Amino acid sequence: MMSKSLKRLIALLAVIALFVAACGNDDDAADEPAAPEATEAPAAPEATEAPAPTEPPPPPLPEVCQEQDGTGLKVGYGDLTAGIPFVTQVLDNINEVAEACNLEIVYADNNLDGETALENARTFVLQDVDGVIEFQIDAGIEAALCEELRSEKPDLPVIAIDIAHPSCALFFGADNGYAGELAGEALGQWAQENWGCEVDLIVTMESFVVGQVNIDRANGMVRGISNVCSDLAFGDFENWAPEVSDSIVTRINGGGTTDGAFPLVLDTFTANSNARILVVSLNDDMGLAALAAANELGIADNVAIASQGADATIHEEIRENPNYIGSTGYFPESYGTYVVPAIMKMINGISVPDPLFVDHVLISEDNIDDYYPAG
Amino acid sequence: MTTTETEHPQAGAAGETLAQRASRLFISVPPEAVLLAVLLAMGGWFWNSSEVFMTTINMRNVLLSVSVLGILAAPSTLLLISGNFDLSIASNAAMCGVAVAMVADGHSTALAIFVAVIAGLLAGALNGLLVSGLGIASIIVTLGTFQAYRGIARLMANGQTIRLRGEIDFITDRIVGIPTQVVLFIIITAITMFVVRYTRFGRAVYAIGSNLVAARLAGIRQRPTVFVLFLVSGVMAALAGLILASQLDAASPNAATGDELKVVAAVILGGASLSGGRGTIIGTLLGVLILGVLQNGLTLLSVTSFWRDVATGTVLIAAVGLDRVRVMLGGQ
Amino acid sequence: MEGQPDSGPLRVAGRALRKSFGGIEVLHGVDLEAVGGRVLALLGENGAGKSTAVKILAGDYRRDSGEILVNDQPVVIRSPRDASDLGIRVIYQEFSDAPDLTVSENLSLGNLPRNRLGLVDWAAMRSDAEAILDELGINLDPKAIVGSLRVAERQILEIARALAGDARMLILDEPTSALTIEETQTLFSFIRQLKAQGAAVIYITHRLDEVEEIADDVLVFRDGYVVAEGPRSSFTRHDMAEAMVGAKLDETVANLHADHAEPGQPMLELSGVTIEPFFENVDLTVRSGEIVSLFGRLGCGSMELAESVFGLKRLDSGEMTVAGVEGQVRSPTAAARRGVGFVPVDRKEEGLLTVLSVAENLSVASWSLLTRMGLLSPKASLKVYERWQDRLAIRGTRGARQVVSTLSGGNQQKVVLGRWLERDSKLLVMAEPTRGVDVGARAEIYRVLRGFADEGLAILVVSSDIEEVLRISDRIIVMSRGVVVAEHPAGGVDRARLVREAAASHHEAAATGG
Repeated sequence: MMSKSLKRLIALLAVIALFVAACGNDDDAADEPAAPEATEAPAAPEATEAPAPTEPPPPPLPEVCQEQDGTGLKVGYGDLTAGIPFVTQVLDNINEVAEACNLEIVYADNNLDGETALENARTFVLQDVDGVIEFQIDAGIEAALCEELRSEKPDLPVIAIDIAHPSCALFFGADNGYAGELAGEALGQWAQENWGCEVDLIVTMESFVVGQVNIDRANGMVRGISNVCSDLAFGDFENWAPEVSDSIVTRINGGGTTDGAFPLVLDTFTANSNARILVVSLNDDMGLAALAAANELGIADNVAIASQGADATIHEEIRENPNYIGSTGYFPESYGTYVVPAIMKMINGISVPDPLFVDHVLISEDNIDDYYPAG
Repeated sequence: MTTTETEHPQAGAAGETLAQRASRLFISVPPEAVLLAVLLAMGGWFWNSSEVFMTTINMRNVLLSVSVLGILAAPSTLLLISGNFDLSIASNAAMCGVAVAMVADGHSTALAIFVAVIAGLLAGALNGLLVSGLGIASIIVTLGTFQAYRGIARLMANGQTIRLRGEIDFITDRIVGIPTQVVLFIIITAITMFVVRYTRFGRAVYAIGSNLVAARLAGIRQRPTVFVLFLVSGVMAALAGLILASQLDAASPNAATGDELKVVAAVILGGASLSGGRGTIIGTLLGVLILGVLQNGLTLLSVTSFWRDVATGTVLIAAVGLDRVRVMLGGQ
Repeated sequence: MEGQPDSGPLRVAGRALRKSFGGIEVLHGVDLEAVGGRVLALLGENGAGKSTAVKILAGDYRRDSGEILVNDQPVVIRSPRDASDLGIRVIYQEFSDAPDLTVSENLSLGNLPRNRLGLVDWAAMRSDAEAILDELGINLDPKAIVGSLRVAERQILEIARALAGDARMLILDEPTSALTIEETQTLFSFIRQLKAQGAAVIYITHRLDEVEEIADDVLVFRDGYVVAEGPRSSFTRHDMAEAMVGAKLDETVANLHADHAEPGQPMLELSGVTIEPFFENVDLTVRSGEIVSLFGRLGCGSMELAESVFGLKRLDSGEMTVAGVEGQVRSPTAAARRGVGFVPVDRKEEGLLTVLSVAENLSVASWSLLTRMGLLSPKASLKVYERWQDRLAIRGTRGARQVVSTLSGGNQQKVVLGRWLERDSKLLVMAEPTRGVDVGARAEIYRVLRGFADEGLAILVVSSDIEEVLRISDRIIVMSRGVVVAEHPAGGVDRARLVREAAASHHEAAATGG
C-alpha cells in the first residue's frame, strides 16, 4: 500500500521536476531580451569592452575607472542577498567594473541578516582588505559593524549602499526624494498641458511598511506635482501621516504588489469616478494596479500615472500609453560604475562627495529607447 | 426508562422570562443568519455614509474584488471541514499566474491556460500525495509548499512582474453585463454547495472532519477524498492566478501574498471549525462578502489602511465570539 | 491525611441543589451527604442528574441555588481548584491527563518538584512517582508516555493522581467501565484503604454488583430528583434497579440465549491465525444466527483479533474465511463490502461522527449503496433514520437532525450498531457493546442483538464484562495471553470459572491453548 503510493509520489515528483526544468528554460528565454538592456545602459557600455590580453604592457584603463587602477588592491563586498534581481544587477556590475579596473573583489553574502553581515565583516578584516563596500539590511547594527570593520585599520574606507552607516561609511544610493520629485514634476507638466492643472484627486500608491523610503519617495512625487501645479489643495503632505487632511492627496497602502493594490485603487476611483486623477506610485507594480483599475472602470482618459523604478515590466506601457507619463530609473545595473571608482579613490586618499547619489533619470516616452532599446 | 436522552428532561417552559426567551431565540437562529445580519448592518451603514456605496458600479467592484478570494475560499472550506489546511493556495495561484504570462508570450491563449491549470493541478497533487500518501499533517506540508511554490514563481519570473502579452481578455469580458470572474465565482460557489449537500464525496468530507477514525471504520476512504480536495484546491488556485493575471494584465510572483490567511479568515468567519467537521459554503460566502464589503466601504470613506486592518480583525473576532456565546448559551 | 481535624467524621453535604441548562432545569433541589469513612453509591440512569450533582460539588458547574456544607459550615466552591483545596478529588470517565507527558510528570502535574536552582528536579520527580506507584501497588513504568498506555492503565493513573494529593473526599464517576476484574479489585482495595483513613467516597456506577460489594449507603437519582436513599443493606439488587428505572424490570434481560434457532452457515472461520505479539494460533468459527463472545482481560489479544476481522490489522499467518470467501480483509472498506460490520470499543473516538446528525451517523456505512446517479440525497439518510428509529428505540429530542454527540451513551451505541444493520451486514463484530451504557439501554441493545441473530446475523462480541458475556452469548470463548484457553456453551459455566480461566498465567494459557 505504502510502496504503491510512494511510487506514485516519485513519479509525480519527477513530473514536477520536469515542469520546473521546462519553466527554467522558458525563464532563460524570457531573460534573453532583458540581458542586452542591462549591458547597454549608457553608464557602463565601455565596461564590456575590457581588453583580454594580460601581457606586461598594461592596457589603458577604461573610462569607467576614472583613472583609478586597482592592481594589487583588495576590496570586500558584502552583498545584500542572492536571488533578488535588483541586487543581482548590482553585484554583476560591481564585478564587471572591478575586473575592468584590475580590482580584486572579496565577495560575501550578507543574506538579509545583520548577524551574517557582522561575521562577514570579520572575514574581511582577516583577509586584510583595503576597503569595504557594504550592502546589508540591518541599520541597527551599523555602529557594531563599523567597529568590527575598523578593528585593525582605523581608517579603512567603507561605502554603504542604500542604507546609511554614519559611523564609518560613505553613503551611496538612491536619492528617493529627488527621484520622486522627478516623476511628480513630469506628471505635473502633463497635467498642466492637458488639463490646465485642473486636478480633482492625487492618489499616492504607497507601501507603509517600507518606512522612510516610502515617505521620501511619495512626498517627493507630490512635491514634484506641486512644483508645477502649485494652486491645488495639497494640504500638509510633507508632514507624513496615513491620511492627509484638507487635501486632494489620498494615500493608498497597496503593499507593493499589483493584486494587493488593485481592489483599493478600484474602490478609490469608483468613489471619484468623474474626477481627473493623478496617480503617483512607489513602484511600477502598483502603477500597473492603477492602470488596470482605470481600464476596468473605463476612466483611463481621466487618469494619468507616474511611478518609480523603470522596471522592464513597465517599458511597454511607457512607450505606448500616453497617460503613463513615466517612471524614475534607479539603474542598479550601473551601481558598480559609482562605487568601484569611489572606493579606489578613497583608498588612494582622493576625496569623494558624501552622500554619493545615483543619477536618477525619468524614463519617459521621449527617452526610453535611448536607455532601453526596443527589442 | 422514560427520559434517557440528555441532561435536559423536558421541563415546563411556562415560567420563562423575557431574557430567557430572547436567549432561546438567539440560540435557535442558524449562525448564517447572524452573519447575514452583520453583512446587512454593515451595508446599511455604508449606504448611509457614502452615496457611491449602493451604486451598481460599486457593487460590481465589490464582487470583482472578492471573486478571487471567493474562488480560493470554496475549496479551502471543504479542506477545513475535512480537518485540513492548504496554506500554499496563494503561492500556487502566483505560480500559475506567472506560468500563464510566460506561456502567453508567444503561444496561444489556450495553451497558456492549459499549462496554468496543469501546473495548479500538479501543485495540488503534490500537496495531496504528501498529506494522504505519506500522512504528513497538511498544515506542515502546505507550510512547506507555501514557501516552495512562491520560490518557484520567483525563479520562473526572475523576481520580476511579467506583463501579460497576448489575449486572455475573456476573463475580464462580461457575461450579460457581469464580469466573467464574478460569474465563475458564483458558479463555483453554487457547484460546491451542491456537491457538499448532495454527493457522497461532500458528505464524506464532513464525516472525515468530524471523526477521522470513525469515518474510516464506517468504510469511508479518507485518502482519496483528501487527495481530491487538494487537487481541486490546486485547480482553483490556477484559476485564481489566471483571473489575477488577466485582470491586472500582469503576473507578479508576489501576487496574492497573504491571501492564504485572508482565505482562512473568511472561512472561519463563515463558521467553519478549525478542528474540522463544521462549516458551510453559504457561511463562507457570507464571510467573503463581509470582508469584501468592509474593505470596500472603508476605502470609499477614505479610512486609512491601519484602521481597516483593525476593523477587519475586530469583525472576525466579534463574529466568531458571537457564535461562541451562542454555543455556550445553548448549554454544555 | 495528617491535616484531618479530629472533631468527628468529615461530612460533605449538598442542600437543595438546583441547576438549569439553557432554561431547562435538570436538578430539582437535591440533598445529598457523604460521610467520612463511608462509601456512598450514586445510582441512576444517564441523564438522571447524578453527574450534574457531583460536578457541582467538584466545582465544574456553578449551582443555581442551594448550598454546600462541610461539617455544617457553608463553603464556597466556584472552581475545581476550590474543590481541590477542600480535599475533594474527582475521577471522571474522560481522562484529564496530559497524554504527551510521562507517567511521572502526570503524577506531579501542577506541583513539579524543583531543585535549588528553581529548575525541574527530574530525579526527585521520578522517585516521587515510584514511591506513589509503589505505595498504591500499581505496576506502571514512570517513564512511559501516558498516551501510549492502555485505557485501563490510564484509568489507574487517574486514580493514582487523585490519591497522590491529600484527598479528604474522593468522587469516582464510573471508574471501572474500562477495568478488568483484577484491576477493579485493586481499585476497591484503594477505596477501602481510603475509607479506613476517614475519607468520604462517592461512587457513581451502573453496576449493581459493584454497589453490593463496596457501598455503605445508596442514593438513587431519577429525572433530577432523589427517589430513594438509605443504607445499602436495606436495598436488594432488584429494589435498586427498579428505583433507577421507575418501573418493573423487564424479565427478558436474563438468559437471552435460552431459545433460539439452530446456527446456520459459518460466517467467520479463523484457523491458526497469529499476529505477533497479540495472539497466536487461534481457531474460531462464528455461524449465522449465533452470538459468540470472546471473553478475557484487557490485553488478552481478543481486541486485536476482532480488529483483524475488520481489516484493521494484518494477520501474520493463518487462514481467514468471511461469509464463505477466503482471504484476509484488507481494509475497513473491504470489510464493509464483504459484509462485516464493526462497533468499536471507544464510541466517541472511533464510532461517532460527533458533529454530524443522527441520520447521517446511521446511514454513513451505506452511503455507497444509497448513492443514485452519483448523488446522495439528504432524504435517503432521513429514510434510514425512519427505518431504524423505532426498531432500535433511538430516543433523541430533535429527531433525525439531532447532533449525535448530544444523545446519551446508550442511544449513541444504538446508532453505531444501526449503521451496520442498515448496511445489511452478515457478520457483526462488537467490542465492549455496552460500555458506558445505562441499564435500560443495555437491555435494549441485548434484545436487538438477539433479534438480529435470530434473523441470521452472526455476531462476535469482544467483552471483559462478565455479566454481559453470561447474558448474551451462545458460546463463550475465553482468551488469556493471546491464546484460547476455554470454550463454553451458553449456560454451561459460572462466573468463578470464567474469572479463573481469564486470569490464567502464561504457562497455563500456553498449556491449554498451545
